Amino acid sequence: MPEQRSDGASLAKRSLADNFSAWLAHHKYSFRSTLARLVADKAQTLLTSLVVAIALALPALLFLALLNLQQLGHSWDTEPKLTLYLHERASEVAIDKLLVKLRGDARIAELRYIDADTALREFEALSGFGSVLEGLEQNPLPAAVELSPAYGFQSAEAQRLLAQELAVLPLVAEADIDLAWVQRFLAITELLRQVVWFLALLLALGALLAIGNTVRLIIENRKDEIVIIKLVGGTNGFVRRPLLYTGGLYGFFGALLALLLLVLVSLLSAAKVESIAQAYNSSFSLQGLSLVQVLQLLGLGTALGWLGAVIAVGRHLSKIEPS
Amino acid sequence: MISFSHVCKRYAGGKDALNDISFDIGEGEMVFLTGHSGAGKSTLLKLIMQIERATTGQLVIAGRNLGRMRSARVPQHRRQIGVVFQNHSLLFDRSVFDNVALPLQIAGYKPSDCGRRVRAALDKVGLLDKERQMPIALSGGEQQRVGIARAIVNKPPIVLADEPTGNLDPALSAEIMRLFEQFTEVGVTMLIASHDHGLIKRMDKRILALNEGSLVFDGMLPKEPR
Repeated sequence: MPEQRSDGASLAKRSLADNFSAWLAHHKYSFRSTLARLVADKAQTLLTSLVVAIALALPALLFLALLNLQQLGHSWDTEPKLTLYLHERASEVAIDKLLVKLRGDARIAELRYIDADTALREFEALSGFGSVLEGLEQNPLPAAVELSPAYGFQSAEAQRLLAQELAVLPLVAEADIDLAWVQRFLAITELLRQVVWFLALLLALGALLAIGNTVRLIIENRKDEIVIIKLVGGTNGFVRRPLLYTGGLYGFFGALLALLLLVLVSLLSAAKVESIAQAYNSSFSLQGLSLVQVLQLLGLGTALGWLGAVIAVGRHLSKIEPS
Repeated sequence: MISFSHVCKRYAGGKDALNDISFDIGEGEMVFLTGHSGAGKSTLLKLIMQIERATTGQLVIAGRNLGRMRSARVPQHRRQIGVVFQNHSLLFDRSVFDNVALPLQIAGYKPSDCGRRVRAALDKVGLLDKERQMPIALSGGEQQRVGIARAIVNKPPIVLADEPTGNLDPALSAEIMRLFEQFTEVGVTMLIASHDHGLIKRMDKRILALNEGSLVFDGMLPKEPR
């Protein structure tokens, strides 16, 4: 080994490109050996991944449900509309007078008069409860006027004022803002969204701790190995790399499992949702995850696992030094 | 290669582990470090490897002053020093080949390069046919030789050995010493901590003797008249 000395000296004179390729080679090696270890220890891998999967799948599921509910809310005609239900005994003449008066109101853009018979026919056609009504001797439905406020009078406040004013007219039994409940519904889903965010944060924290703890145990188990690596000149980065890959892979596997859970749940519920939607004569169909969202979920899982490992490594690795 | 001047090491408890140690070891020299347990042998080796830092005094290893070394530089420094441990310190979850390849992986050698160098090192210690085995399947002497192969695989200018023959029978010890002598022939500086007086006597090399943290002897043993 006569070239011995020159080799020793060249160690310090390695070029940047050499260092980069060495760094890359070790990343490849770390990734492969970590993957092999995770595959070898299937039980632990499944368990830790499952924690991540649940932490990701639950909020994702709730977000999906909210998304679909909101979509449902928006799919209802969002054109603001008021309905005036007229007294049963209102005479046709009086009703005509009222319609003329309403048509002259600048705040009303459009109106449609629905007499009691028409209302009954529409109800029969749309609800599917026609047979129930056949048993009734009298038409239980009142005549109504449907009106759309003019542009500029469509705000919730303006509608409320208009409804209030119209409600006191002698012929009007009741004035309803049709979409008020849709707006309430959307407001409630918005509140739910915040609750889900909070839940998601809590679950993410749980997943972080679970991965952190697993990585801590791995560090504990590999204490001897870490000491030896440091003794033969391994840097902290060299020791850290496989551990970070471990966390990242746990997160990635967890995200994959979460996707599987989501697919399973949506397959199970899709048929039910469809039959309900059909009953309501709605073309509503469940909206799943887009490709971008799938990638986001995978990325989020990986990042979560990686972060958990970073925290565990930061707390526990520095304590292990050769002595 | 290894230069101590007025080095003291005091541990946090206030105990002086090393006291005013000065010596120089040249390139390609083979030196035995001896003394009772607790005399400071391990501390001296730890200072060279930067596991511990000197309290006062100056250490220059392979031309580098360790007093001013940042901790980020320590891994680089350790790659210049091959270490043979008494307890072998092998990783039992991987093959002989992978154990020996570890310092090369750390230093970032290409896999093709690694294979060549690992086999050269294993050939040197006579274990070329065992590269695929797991360390647990080897005898104590073979494990020690794997440790030696790992210490020399990246051809460090300095090799430290801490009681390398501690658990080995005399024949194996002699074999390992012959191996170490071969390394010095190509310019490797060898520092061997040992309390095996018989062995040290037979080898007839320079001796550094420590006693309670002080260097009490530096030189060759006088030739015994026969």
